[in-house]
Amino acid sequence: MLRDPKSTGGHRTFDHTADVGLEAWGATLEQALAEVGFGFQSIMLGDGLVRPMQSRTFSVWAADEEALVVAWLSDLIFAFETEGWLSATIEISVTSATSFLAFCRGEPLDETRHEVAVGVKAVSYHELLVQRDDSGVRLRVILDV
Amino acid sequence: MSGPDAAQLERIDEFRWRIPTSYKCGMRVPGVIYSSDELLPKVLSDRPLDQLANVTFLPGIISHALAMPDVHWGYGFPVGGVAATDVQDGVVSPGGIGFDINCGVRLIRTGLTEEDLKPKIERVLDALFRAVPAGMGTQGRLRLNTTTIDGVLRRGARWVVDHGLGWSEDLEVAEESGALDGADPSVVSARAKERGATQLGTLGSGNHFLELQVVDEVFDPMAANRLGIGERGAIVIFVHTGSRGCGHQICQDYLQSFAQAPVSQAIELPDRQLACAPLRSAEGRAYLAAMACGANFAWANRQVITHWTREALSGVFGCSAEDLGMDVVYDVAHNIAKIEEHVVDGVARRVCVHRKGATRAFSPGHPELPAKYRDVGQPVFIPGDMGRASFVAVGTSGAMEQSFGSTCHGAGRALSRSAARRKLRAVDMVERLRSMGVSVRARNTRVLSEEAPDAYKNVADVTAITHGAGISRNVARLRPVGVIKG
Repeated sequence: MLRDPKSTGGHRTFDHTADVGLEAWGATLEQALAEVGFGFQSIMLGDGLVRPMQSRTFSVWAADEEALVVAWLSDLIFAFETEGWLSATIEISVTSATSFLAFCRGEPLDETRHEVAVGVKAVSYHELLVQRDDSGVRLRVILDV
Repeated sequence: MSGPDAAQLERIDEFRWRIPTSYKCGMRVPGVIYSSDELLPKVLSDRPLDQLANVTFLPGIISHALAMPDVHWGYGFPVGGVAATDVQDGVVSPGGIGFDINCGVRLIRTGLTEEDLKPKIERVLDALFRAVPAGMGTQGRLRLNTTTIDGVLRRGARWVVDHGLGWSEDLEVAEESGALDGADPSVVSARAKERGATQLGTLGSGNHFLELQVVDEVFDPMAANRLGIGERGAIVIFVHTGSRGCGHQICQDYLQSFAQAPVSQAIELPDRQLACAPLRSAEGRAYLAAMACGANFAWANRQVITHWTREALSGVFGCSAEDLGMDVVYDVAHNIAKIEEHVVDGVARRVCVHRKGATRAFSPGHPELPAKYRDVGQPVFIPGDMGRASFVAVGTSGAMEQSFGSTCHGAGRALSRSAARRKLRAVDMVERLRSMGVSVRARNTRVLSEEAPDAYKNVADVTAITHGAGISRNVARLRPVGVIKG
């Protein structure tokens, strides 16, 4: 996946007995939201480069900031399941406290090049966290796989 | 919170422990855990019991929230949780059903023996792997449009049988005859329908499977004969899958809508995933109507897979599915909410039973059972792991008295997916399973580590508890010989 080389963000998974926990962080909310998108994709996808062949914009909104994370990942699940959409780049533009636009470049799944490792069914609200500190923003979410 | 420690639990009897309401401020009723001296430490080291305590915060909850012996950490409800709420003043919580609405198990019997299957098992697995699409986001062989999917959502397995994919007798041996009343496709989002449109007749990924099993031991010959699985060495087939993207999206949509609904916001809960709405509210009724659609999609899904499984075996053995004796034994849901009548403190009450990773286990004589099983009790299927064993049981009067007619749904995970992957290499798993006498086909080998036998508790330990506590009665033990995974 292509990333901004100056990025200070990142993501990692954490253990959950039956499902998968995902943590993402960045200097800004925009960066953390982009990282949580990449983190979600890295859970689903094994090896295989995603090429920035097409553009796609997601308009995401929700009742509050935590629900925004759920809505964003739900949009990515829907786009993947119905069109095979995979993102190579994600640029977030926050439009309000409870909405943002995600400008993505990517391509549809090509099973000759992309290995789907795990199916992500849905995004839970259990222990969902949007946390701010001096270093930036940290998101935690548990995904149903 | 990590959950109560052993000292905070009160032992009720050999198989039950109680979490008293004093454990956490806000608990309306106690929690009750079915376990054993051997399994309880494992349960305590995971985090499901704090989740069980959270479930007791739900308004209108009756008697107690229950954890089955296969309980483990979920989201909102623990996996293996049961809770009943009063239909008058109680709530429904989509997290008490889960994303995979009506994930469940269907058992198909055959007249084949292990000796018949042995020389052809690889061909059978290849044929099944071709016939039943498996894996993440897999598109099925059927394409529904926005009109036809409404028929599936409304009529479930009946729609499938009416379209020629199954036998009318199949419908007699499924919970709710394969279609829950009250399904209203108009309260299901376009997104849920779009996700479902290409996925009817697909297994999905994760713990879903299609398994060939051998009847290895019969504990109750009378009940086993009634179920058509009384012969040791006979081959049976397990289908474990649910409502696919359609159900996942329905749950996701209603969690979001409950988050914004004032009737839900007024209810204080310790976990957002427990978001709920009064059963009598417009929001609660809409969710139940949408959940019924998801449940019906799942029954339709297992029905389509049954049809293709029959075709696949028929092709390999060169005779009809009827001649192969491929009757459906029964079909159970293990993620669902049902409006049922239960006797509570001597009074019959209508309640909404949430089963999240738990199986209905109605006793002999229950009017909702098909006539052929009314004297033995409802068949219950308890898949174990893909290397060791699975169990067939029947419901009991003990379940009606203790657990709102419910028992366990599986072995329950012992290792997280990532811990299983760290410990067990996928490439070794195919050989390891082969050495255990199990042939396997998987779309993706990583799933074999995550779903390895060692990742699960021993199902025999779990069913010893449900049998011992009297909430279901063991009928037969099955041994896997062939597995299709997503």
